Amino acid sequence: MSPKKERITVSLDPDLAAELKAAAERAGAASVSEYVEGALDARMVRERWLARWRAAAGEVDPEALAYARRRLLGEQVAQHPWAS
Amino acid sequence: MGVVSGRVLTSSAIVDIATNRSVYGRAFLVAAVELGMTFPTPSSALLQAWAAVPPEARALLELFLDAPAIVVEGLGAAVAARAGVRAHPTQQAGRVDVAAAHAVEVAIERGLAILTAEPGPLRAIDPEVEIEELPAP
Repeated sequence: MSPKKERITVSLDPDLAAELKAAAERAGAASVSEYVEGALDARMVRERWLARWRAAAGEVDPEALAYARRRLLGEQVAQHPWAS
Repeated sequence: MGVVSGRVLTSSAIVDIATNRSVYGRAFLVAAVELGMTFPTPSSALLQAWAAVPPEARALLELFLDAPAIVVEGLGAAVAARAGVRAHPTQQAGRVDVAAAHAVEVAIERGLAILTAEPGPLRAIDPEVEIEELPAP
């Protein structure tokens, strides 16, 4: 049996909310909640790994990290919002 | 289906990440995880990296393999055939770098650039393959 879900209310920019609903539909999610839960779970997996890496290897050189972000995103993109 | 972006890793890139030879290998790995990108990693490159890193770097290599960005690409019969045929001219010239040929094949299949500290063996197999060279330490 799946655990009981906790309801959390979040406030979003209307354009982003519309985009979210459309993305959930495109992805074939049963609900927006299911889509958001999947996205958050993936994000948390990344955050947990990053914490383990920093604990084991230390902080990455900030200039090198900025360089890598620019290269991965394409030189025309200054910075990804998640990368701040 | 979303667009998958990232880089294919070579053994030199993996060794760079595990040993911090330059600061850039780890920067690319961390940035890829932050951005939700994928770094396909040929199993043959992984073998070379395991052989190359000193014992004290093996724990970080394990942690590297746990990264959400890392997807290990095996060398099955079909990939081996395509990579081997592509590397045929290098066999005529001397010897085949199996891991480089594997990385080139994965990069072409995925439409991704290859992240490496040693572009020479890759260029020998395919001069047109897109390469992201790690800056010198």
